[in-house]
Amino acid sequence: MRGFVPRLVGIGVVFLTVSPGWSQGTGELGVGYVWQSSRGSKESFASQYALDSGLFLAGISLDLRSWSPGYSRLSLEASGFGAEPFGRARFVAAWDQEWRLELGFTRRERFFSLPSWDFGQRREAWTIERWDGRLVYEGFSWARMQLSVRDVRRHGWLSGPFYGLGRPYVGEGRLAQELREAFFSVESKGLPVRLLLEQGVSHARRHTSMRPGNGGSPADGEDPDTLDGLRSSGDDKSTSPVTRLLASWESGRWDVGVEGLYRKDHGIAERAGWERYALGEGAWGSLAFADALKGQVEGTVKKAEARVGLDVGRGFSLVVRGGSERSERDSVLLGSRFVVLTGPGGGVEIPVVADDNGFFDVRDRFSVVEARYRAQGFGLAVFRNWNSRDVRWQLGRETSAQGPERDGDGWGVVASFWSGGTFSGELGGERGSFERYVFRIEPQSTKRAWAKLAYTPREGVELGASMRTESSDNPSSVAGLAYDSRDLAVSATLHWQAGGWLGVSFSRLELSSDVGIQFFAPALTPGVSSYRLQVNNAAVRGFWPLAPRWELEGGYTLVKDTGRTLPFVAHNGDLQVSWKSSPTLIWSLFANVYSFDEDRANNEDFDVRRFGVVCRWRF
Amino acid sequence: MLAILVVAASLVPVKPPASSGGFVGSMTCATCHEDVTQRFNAGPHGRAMAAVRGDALARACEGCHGPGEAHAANPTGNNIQRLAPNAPEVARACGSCHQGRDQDLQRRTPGHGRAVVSCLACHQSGHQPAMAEHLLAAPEDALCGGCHPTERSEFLLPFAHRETRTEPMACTACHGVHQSQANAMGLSAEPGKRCASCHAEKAGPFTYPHSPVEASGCIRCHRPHGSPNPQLLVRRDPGSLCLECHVATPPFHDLTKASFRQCQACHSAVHGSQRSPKLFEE
Repeated sequence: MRGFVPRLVGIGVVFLTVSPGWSQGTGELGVGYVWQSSRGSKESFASQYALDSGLFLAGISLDLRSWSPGYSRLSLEASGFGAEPFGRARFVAAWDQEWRLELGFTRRERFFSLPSWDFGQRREAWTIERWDGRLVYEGFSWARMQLSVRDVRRHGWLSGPFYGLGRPYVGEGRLAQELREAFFSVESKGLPVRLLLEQGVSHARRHTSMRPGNGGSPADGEDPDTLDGLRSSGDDKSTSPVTRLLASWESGRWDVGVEGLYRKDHGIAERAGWERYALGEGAWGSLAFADALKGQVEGTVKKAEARVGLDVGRGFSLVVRGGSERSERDSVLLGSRFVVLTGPGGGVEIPVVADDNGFFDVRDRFSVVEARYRAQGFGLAVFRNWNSRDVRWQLGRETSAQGPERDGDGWGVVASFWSGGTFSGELGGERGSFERYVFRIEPQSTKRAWAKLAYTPREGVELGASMRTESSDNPSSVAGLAYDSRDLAVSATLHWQAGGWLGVSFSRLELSSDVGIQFFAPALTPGVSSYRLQVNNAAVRGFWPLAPRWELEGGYTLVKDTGRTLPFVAHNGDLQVSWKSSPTLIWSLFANVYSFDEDRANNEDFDVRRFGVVCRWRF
Repeated sequence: MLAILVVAASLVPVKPPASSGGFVGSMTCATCHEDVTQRFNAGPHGRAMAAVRGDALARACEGCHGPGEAHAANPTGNNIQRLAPNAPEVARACGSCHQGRDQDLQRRTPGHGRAVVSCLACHQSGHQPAMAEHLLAAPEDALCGGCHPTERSEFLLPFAHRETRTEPMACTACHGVHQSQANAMGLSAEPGKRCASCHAEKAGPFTYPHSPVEASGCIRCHRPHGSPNPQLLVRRDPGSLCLECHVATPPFHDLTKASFRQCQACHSAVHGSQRSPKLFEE
């Protein structure tokens, strides 16, 4: 609710300012109020949906055409805020048939806390706000120019674990982060070769500060060594200028495109921290750690890609694609660390100079050759691809340098078929294999197959079905990876002439993953990390115009996981009945239900009911 | 071998379009197709054409359907380009004004090209009332979800990238279908760079990066659309996720003790750290 009224007033001022001038336009203004009651874990519900009681903006929209001399369009849309965790607003203005301005705003509130999930008592509540703007000029016959800006801010608090005196403690911190980007681009039009040149810069800034949580006790229980002082603050700043050039040319037969990107990253991170532990609750003295550090990261990203397509004739075409991306990053850390030990007999300070450096370089290359055939009602594509990845890294002087390389190749085939506008389908399969591993959980071979069908037996009836299966593995000498995934989905949508529609869908996702692991318990023990998912998902949604002044809209979703890792049942539903009391005024009553039920525990289960009313004024 | 094939192939003539003869203008088309012409001109596509270039509307019909002289003289279905949704002529017709958009699609999402997904699979021609912005045939989630139903249903899982109560986040917020619509930062092949446009703090650059994040991006550990697991993780238990890569942990990491079963309890800077090579602190 915080900030809802000022935002609503702001939107209303824009609304009333622009409204009187229109010559042709439509609009709507809707405000609602919702009451929420819940049983079970409120924090679990908030972690999934973050909905609340209160006032909210059901929707505001204004679409004006030729609203003032020279102006061709002006529109405003907004919804959410208040009791909704997500709010958005969008403003578009176009004038003189040459200029177009778009402004957008979104706001999302996020809460997370699941006591049973995280031993370290992780909790977080933050808000992320995004502004974006775009100014487009179409006045030149040969080019289109665009200036884009974006500002993303996140603020809030979090508490979570941090490594203290040989064990985890709890820290609480505040977040203040922002990302600003600006891009200018020129795109040719009407020229034989299409060119796009874009220059942008991105700047990110982040500030964090921490203080002790959990009363200074370790996260795993009471301990005589308590955290009695923690001050930690950090400032990160990074700037990344980026240049992109794209050129493409197309004739009736040839299609050629090239693209290049160059980005430079410059990051500075400053850290100042001080933490003190009272040993034996202070009886034995204290141990403190302090640091003042500065890290610097310099990096570049170079990317190039090319594509050549040739229409061979008689329905055949060839496509060759290739590309390379290379990112290099070097880091340096300088500063001082101190260990201060204070006992009954005095204290001792041990300074340690921090001087470290590292690097992380990745080079990816790929090439693809494709042959395609397209006839009346049928298409076939066969492709072969080769990939390579070279990764080199050393995270610090105390760690060893790594330099794994990975090569792979694969092939695939996709067949598609269609019959007028009534029937279409796609069958595909691909296979890839790799010789070496950057990380042990990467597959040696991957196989994938899929099928999709869509059928429209008559106007207003749409049926769809799809399935996909995927498996990957690697040898037991690496990780004994065995990954299998299958999914199936069917859907049907029915529209009828009165404007009503009904859609039903069902999907099933099965996933099993086994990876060989080793851990100490307390001796080295071999084991398997096993994960099983079997999610059935059924949904129905519809809209019924009951009578000339009455409308009904609703939906229901059931999600049931019967996999052995964490079986659960979740469902949610909504129903809204609307009454048009006059040609311009619509009243709606709505109800929502949300439920979550874990099979093996109940401390994160919830049942939530929401009831609300919305009033919409259309003009 | 490929070069020989390409050169030989380029000598084969390409099939000419169905329509032939000269241009007659939209007024001539309207004499028989008056309702179609009126609907198009009054619709968003017609209005946009009029706004960008006043004379474009005069040739709007033939801009997509090809020269209509032969058809006007002898109105049959065989001498005019009819533009079935999957016809190769669709990309050429749209590309005559929207230069390079089909090439962007082919390069950005080659799977769409292989499956013969043409402009009209997603966009309306402009003869019907507009259903969504950019003449999309349906709102984004329904449109993309029609061919990608698994991804669509993942948004219904307990933890998901949702907007409002149940609505999925817009697909194009992360997937730049047409290359020129994505800005240079969104262009990167690294999936993590797309996530970083909102989750900037996870992207660094870090003095001590976490290698899988740096090399493979966020999807190594997170499912981007939705997951039954908190934080969109690919495993319910974060500890087992870490152990799949980290098999050589120091011997004092005795997993019979609760504090060692949650790796994040100490190694909390899982996305990267500015001061700790062991990722103890951010």
